[in-house]
Amino acid sequence: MSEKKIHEDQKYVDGLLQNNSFIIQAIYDKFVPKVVNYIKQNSGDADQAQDVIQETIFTIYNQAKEKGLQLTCPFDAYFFLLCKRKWLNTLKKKNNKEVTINEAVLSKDDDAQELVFETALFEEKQALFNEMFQKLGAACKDLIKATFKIKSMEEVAKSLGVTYAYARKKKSLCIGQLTKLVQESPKFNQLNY
Amino acid sequence: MEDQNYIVFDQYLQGELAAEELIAFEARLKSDARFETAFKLYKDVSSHLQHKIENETETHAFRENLKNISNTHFNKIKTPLEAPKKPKVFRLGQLAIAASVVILLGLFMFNQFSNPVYSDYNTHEPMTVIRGADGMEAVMEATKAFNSADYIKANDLLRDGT
Repeated sequence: MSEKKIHEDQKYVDGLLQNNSFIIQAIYDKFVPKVVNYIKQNSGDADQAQDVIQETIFTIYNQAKEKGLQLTCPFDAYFFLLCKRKWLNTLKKKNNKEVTINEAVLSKDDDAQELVFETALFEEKQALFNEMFQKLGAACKDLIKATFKIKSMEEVAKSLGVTYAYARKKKSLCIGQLTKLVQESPKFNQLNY
Repeated sequence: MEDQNYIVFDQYLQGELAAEELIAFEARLKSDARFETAFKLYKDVSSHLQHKIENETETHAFRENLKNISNTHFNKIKTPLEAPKKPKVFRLGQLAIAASVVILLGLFMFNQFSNPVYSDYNTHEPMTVIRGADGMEAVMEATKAFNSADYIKANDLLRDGT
């Protein structure tokens, strides 16, 4: 990844990171109509397209923020393929059977395919982590939240009325418990670990 | 065993392992695939939690902004699709008005002409007289009587004249 040249469209990713309304607007003006057409041609409507697009942009934002996403292909191809993938997954979940798809619009851009795969994987991980986090006990949830909100573990320990050593140990074990829940999930095998 | 691993994972990520421990840890990552997987997952989950909780406010602001722009954009797309429907409804209304006018007019005319009475057809051309003929006076009288609708008198006069 790092040897590849960063595409000039990285400006869109950076714009999302900065919550820049002009850039978000530009994405909607330039790249969204194509996605809306595709979804409409493949048994969807404008409302469904709106949801798919919003979620896709949110995922790109998250990946940029957490993983420092670097675009090595045009934003257009990357964005379109991501939305398409998401829409096909939605259709599969809904119908639970084979769907006929208009495959006329397919990118042959390998960089784009690779990046889309990474983002999709990132999104699946996030979804599973979030789902499993909800299954943790209240004490673990509170401790984890406090740990990342209040940066100093001494303060966390103080606020929870426990010793520093206990708070540290408990934090590791709570995160460990979460990883265990993730690993035990049937979805874990799709996550490429 | 697992619990001990989690504690070491966290120490490693916090940069708290001593030099010797660090070497041992990294050697184990290379040799023990399961240990490595467990560590990678722990690292990913930690990073996810950190990002999610640390940036909660920023992320929320982004989501709201995105939602607004998205709504504005899609409202623009959705309205022109619905717009052409309005004139259609309007035309249908006009058509309904025109149709009721035609029906009312039809009914009115039907009622006007459906009960013919004698007076509808009771029209007569005025009687004409040829000058210089005999019995002129009686004929003139009869004409006058006829034209003033006194048919009985006209009849008598004409019968007498002929």
